[in-house]
Amino acid sequence: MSKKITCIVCPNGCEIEIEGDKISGYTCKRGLEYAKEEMIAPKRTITSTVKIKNSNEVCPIKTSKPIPKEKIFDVLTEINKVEIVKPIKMHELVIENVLNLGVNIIATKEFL
Amino acid sequence: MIKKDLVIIGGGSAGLASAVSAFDNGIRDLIILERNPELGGILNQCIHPGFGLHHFHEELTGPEYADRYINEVKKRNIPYLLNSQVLNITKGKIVTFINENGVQKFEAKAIIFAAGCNERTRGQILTPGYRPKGVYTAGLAQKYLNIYGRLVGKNVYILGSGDIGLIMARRMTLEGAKVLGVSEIMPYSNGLKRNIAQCLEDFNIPLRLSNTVTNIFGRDRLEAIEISDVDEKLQPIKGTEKIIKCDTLLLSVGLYPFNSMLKNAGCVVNKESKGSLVDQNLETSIEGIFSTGNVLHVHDLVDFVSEESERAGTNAAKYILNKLSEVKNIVNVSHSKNVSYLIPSIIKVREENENIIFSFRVRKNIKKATIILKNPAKVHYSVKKINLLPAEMIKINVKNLNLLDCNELSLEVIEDE
Ligand SMILES: Cc1cc2nc3c(=O)[nH]c(=O)nc-3n(C[C@H](O)[C@H](O)[C@H](O)COP(=O)(O)OP(=O)(O)OC[C@H]3O[C@@H](n4cnc5c(N)ncnc54)[C@H](O)[C@@H]3O)c2cc1C
Repeated sequence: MSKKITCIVCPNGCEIEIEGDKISGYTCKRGLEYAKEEMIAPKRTITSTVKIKNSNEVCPIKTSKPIPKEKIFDVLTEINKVEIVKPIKMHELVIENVLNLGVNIIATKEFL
Repeated sequence: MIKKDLVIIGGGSAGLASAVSAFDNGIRDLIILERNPELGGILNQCIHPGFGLHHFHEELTGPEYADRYINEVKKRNIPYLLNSQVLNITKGKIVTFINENGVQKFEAKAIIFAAGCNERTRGQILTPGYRPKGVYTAGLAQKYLNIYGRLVGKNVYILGSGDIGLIMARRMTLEGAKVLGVSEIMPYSNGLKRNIAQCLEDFNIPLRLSNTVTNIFGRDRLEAIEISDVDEKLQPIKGTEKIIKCDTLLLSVGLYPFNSMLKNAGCVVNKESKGSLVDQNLETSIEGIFSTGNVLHVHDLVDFVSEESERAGTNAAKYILNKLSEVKNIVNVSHSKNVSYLIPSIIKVREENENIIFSFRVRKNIKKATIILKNPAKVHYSVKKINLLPAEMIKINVKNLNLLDCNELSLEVIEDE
């Protein structure tokens, strides 16, 4: 059985075809790795925001590494519980080892 | 009046990159004017990853990409004024702006105009029906959510499959909203393929091609919309109507350069790109006024904005320091019909061999093409490309073009079998 996926590694968006253990249509190494992983355990980098105490703005955050796709909404629930305090440094740790996934939640903007 | 060598209007990625390169090319008397309370422009609200793969060879989020350039500006102590909105520019390069200290003016030797783009609104695409609350442009909803943490609705429909709409479909889903679908009037999406995969398919959000919103219901707050399929002439087909209950409609129907200020100053407009008409140095029809970034033509990749803006900064510096040699020839540049716009429109030939970057978009999907640059007598350059899409800007970098005895140059995209 063959399966077609769109590579999300870069804006080129190559169409990759997977047939058993034959993978074709990728144009770089990262694309091949993405296709392999997508077959066994799909992962995504998640970005969202967290509340900042005494501010009308929120702080953008990201997962330090891609997380398993089926954990996305559980991780977001954890993220939504947090409130952080200024000053916030770029890449400051917001949640360490979220849900024991071996991934941190880090800030992606500086707030003085 | 206070004199400045260089005034940069807009502190988004275009303004920041041009400031850094003007500084590095010897300009010290410069200033950035930004109307927002922070630098970074639209990148501040684009919290998703997908920036910087070309420029930094790693994937950054919008705020991270902005941060790198803001740091470069700060390292050089380049002055900037926030909460300062430019009101007017004149031919004589007088820049009028307003901030908490009132209305002020700078007299500049050169100006770099980097004010970004606007979103098309409902008025411009003429959707019928009432005007209830709950209809937003996708970028505005993105700003509310990603800067202020406010979700504009719970049951959302999206008109237009541009990247901002796709990104917002995922973003609102992650925040707990139900995104009921995306309608695209064209038979193909205008968004990147990877955004269709990771923003729609990942969450089973339907994408309806050749389909549009034909009515809007609700007097106070949006209650429902009607969607219909369209024929080849983009006209709604009777009998295909479907009612969808929703409280929010996001419009992701395109962006256009925020160019009116340059137009009012007298800069000739490029009717196709809707920005100013520029030469290969990104100089407009008024000497010493340069334009770059989304205000020149709408970019899909910030990396290309940075590259273009570095050129604008370098060339503005050369202009200010009188380092540009004399113009030996002027070449008008045209393009084939399947190209929707092309930059530059003219080439001012100063050297025997010029290195020139051409940016353009095609009108329809083309699988395989040969791109050539020619004048009636000679083909100057030719390159093969695959998978050309209207949604993706194409950039070609042509080295050593000898245009001393040529007055017309045409860029042609020839479809290959
Ligand atoms: C929603 C969205 C998503 C995107 N996603 C991606 C992506 O995933 N990957 C990618 O590579 N690229 C992406 N892009 C493209 C890229 O980010 C932009 O093209 C680029 O950042 C534009 O930079 P700019 O400086 O030209 O415009 P802007 O960032 O809009 O900057 C213009 C600045 O000028 C200021 N300004 C305007 N008028 C005035 C005035 N009168 N006086 C003073 N200041 C003024 C504005 O406040 C603003 O700060 C996206 C763009 C958008 C809009």
